[in-house]
Amino acid sequence: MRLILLSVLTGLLAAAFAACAKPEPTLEQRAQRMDKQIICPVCPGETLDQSSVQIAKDMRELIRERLAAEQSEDEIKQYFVDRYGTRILAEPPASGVSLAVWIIPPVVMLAGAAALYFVVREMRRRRQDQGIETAQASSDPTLKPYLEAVDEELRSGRTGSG
Amino acid sequence: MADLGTMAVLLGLGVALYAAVGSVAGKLTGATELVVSARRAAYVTVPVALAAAAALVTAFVTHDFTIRYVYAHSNLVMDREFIWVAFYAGNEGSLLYVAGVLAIMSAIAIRLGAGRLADTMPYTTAILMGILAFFFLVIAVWANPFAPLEFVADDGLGINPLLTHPGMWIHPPLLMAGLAAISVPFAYAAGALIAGRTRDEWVDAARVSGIIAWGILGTGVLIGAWWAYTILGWGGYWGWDPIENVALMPWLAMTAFIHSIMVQKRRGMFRMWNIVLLNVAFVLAQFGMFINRGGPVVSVHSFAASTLGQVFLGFMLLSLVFAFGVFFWRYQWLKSDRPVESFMSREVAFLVNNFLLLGITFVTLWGVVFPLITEFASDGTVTVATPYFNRVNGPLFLALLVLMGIGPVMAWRRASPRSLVRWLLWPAALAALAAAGMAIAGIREPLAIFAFSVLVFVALVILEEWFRSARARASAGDNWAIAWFKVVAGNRPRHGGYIVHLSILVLAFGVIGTQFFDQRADFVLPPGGSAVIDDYRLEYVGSEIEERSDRTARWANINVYRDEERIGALRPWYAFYPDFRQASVRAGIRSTPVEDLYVVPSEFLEDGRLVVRVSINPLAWWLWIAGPIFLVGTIVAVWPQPVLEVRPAPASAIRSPVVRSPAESTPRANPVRG
Amino acid sequence: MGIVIGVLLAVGAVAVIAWPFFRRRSDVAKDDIAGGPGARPQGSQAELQRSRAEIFRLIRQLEADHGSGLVNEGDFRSQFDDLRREAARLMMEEAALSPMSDPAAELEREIAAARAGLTGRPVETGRKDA
Repeated sequence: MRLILLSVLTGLLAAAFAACAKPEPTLEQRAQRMDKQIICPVCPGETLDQSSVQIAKDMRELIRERLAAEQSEDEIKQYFVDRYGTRILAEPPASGVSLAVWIIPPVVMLAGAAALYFVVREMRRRRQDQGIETAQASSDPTLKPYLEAVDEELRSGRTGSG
Repeated sequence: MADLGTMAVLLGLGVALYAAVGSVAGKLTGATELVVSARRAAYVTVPVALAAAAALVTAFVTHDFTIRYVYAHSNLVMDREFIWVAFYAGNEGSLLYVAGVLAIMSAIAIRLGAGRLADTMPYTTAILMGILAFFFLVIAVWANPFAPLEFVADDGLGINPLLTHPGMWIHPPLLMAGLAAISVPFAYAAGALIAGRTRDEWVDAARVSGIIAWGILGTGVLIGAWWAYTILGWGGYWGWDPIENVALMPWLAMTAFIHSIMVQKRRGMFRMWNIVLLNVAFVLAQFGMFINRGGPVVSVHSFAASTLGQVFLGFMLLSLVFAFGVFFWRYQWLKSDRPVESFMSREVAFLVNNFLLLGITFVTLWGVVFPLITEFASDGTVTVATPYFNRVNGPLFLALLVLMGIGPVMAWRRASPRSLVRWLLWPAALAALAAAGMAIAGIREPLAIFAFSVLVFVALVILEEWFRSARARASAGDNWAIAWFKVVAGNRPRHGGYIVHLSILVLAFGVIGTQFFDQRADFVLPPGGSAVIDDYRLEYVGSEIEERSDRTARWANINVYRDEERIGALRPWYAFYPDFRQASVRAGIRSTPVEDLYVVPSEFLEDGRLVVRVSINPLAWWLWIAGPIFLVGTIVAVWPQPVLEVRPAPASAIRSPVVRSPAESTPRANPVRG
Repeated sequence: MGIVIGVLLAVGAVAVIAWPFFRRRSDVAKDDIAGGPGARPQGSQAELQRSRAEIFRLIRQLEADHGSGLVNEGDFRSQFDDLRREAARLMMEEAALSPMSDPAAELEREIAAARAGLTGRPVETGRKDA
């Protein structure tokens, strides 16, 4: 039963993603994607897509004209970089100094994951040493009357949360 | 009023310093009068700070332009209702606001801790009052809102037009209050560490105050997003702007803390780790104050440029050294005595949650500081903006969502794979079905489909747990609704947490919709002209103009048609403030659960044409629904559980062995309680 | 005007803060303990009782998790037993701390206990292995 369900499930997922083969993006879709990758030169932190000032509007138009003239996205980006410098790109390029902005996060995450793994493994190892102590504690005869008192208190239902 | 304000600030500084020094000195020398007196001093900071605030508000209301701050942030013609918010429109007033909030929160924290945490409260008091003294010091020396104006002015400069929005009433106050409030759980924990009470006495106090701080900060961030959406006019709600990021980071660290603290509460584990998380959150909150008030980062929020950078940077570094200094000093006392038993356990799920949240925090921090580093290190500056954060943090958030579905059904200590399959199979199957459905319905974004189906999965797991728990109760005779309420009431932290999880799902629903499926277009419309976007047609009827002394405001009247049927009208607003050479817009939004039609006028041309940017933001409506759910969940999670009464231990069992043996006396000797 | 209010504020603040120094030390100490609305009984005995109440709460939650099927039978047994033992251990610690009990009070309590046994509250617990 579960196996059937699992296989149907996997099949459905595969079918879903197969059906998702993206159609070729239209010119406008490509342009809108580019709007989000270029920063408006006069409004810090906002992309062309976000900005409503005149220069951003002009730049958006320029992108559409150039795409229509069959320029590649990289060429258009390069055009803006030549005019305004690398800072016009919303994402730093993966080269030179700014390679670090891309490399560091995965490196730190991997290191963190490894640290997490080893710490948990270490904490588990300690468990084996401790197992013996708990076993000794459980056979402590002086605890017995209190255990009964606890059971009594539990049975009374007074300490229930309702 | 300036005299009163300045006096109150100096008095506040003195009283807070006395409270900080006095409570530690009193504790160390055993002088109870001094401890009590210092505590009263901590309470006294509240009326003192309020007096200073009242003085400033009075100065604004009476248009006292002999005060520089009032001159710089208000004028005679501004809307009356915003005179109050001008109070925190600039650095000086914001700091006074923070001092006031901190004083009130500290007083409440000190009062509530006085009973159970009596041993550690002097140190907690000292930490809170030390922070408060810092703020009073900054106000008194570097940012006095009561400083006189050097010349005589008949009118003030007025308030930045972007700030005249209802959001201003709630967003900055909540954000600043949230950042300040993180001091409280930190002070509880650090106080306990210093006092050497390194067991778990502080856990409840820190958990509750931590969730409250986290809830305030989260609400502030959400309202900020709403504000940005309606006024900043770019159709977005979150720009990964440095100011937004510095509020998000402590929130994320606190999110990690309020999860992880449950492990300490329940299992007595992760003692060191929880302190680390609180320290990180506290230092990040100070970093937030530094960026907000000191401001080395160029940002769309940089209304309030200031020269306080070094002071706040110094305080942040001091916080860092203090927090981790105390931690390493008491390091060896924090060992937890219980081991992790299995990788497949709720404990480890919480650790992975912490790992992902801190990962997102780190990426965000890295994205904020990297441009600063490159600016120092090399000639060219780089921009780290939205696409970077989306690309790097996006997968981490998605992983967090998946974990949100699996973690809650992991049993404590060790979870059996069989029980996991039993719990997760049906939600996973239905989520896959939903994915297939979306593909058939014609959605062509595989990532979006995956993300949506993860939301379905997580929601179903939560509902499944509620269903099964309620069923177990309902079989005892309750009806289902009552059974569910009892389930929630029986473990409020957990089920409040689930409600918050649902709100995050709703939020994520809106985020995925707007991120993957938004459309934008620019139009230039003559009166009577039409623009078509998607299946909407917008008809520009004309504009109205209103001249005010401080601005020229224009409304565009736009009719919205769909399938040639008029479905509504929009009146987006555009105002130009000549004094500020700045425009302020208010978008026209037609919001439905399916999608928002969002119209921003960017310019009214001389010839009567309207330049307009139109967006379609699918599912944006859900972003704002998340807020109330989030609040409800937070309140459920912190609502105090009833105190359980236990019987005192049977004393005679041990102490009077002559009378009878423990074995026979114990069960009977239980005294009965009222 | 402002200066007058400011001076009043300062005088009031100093008065409130200095007040404890002008009282008898015992009164101050009393105030110190009764310092908060959450001022629950102090001392390690009360502390142990609170810890035990927490354990009881955990037991109830464990029972709820067992009821919903989140925790399977074997894990429930072992975790239940650990918690129960922890509660007993706390009770034992508490008993070791308690002062020598007064015989008369002891008798009273025993009578009360017997009476409670007679009226007999209904036994209700989620525990399967009673």
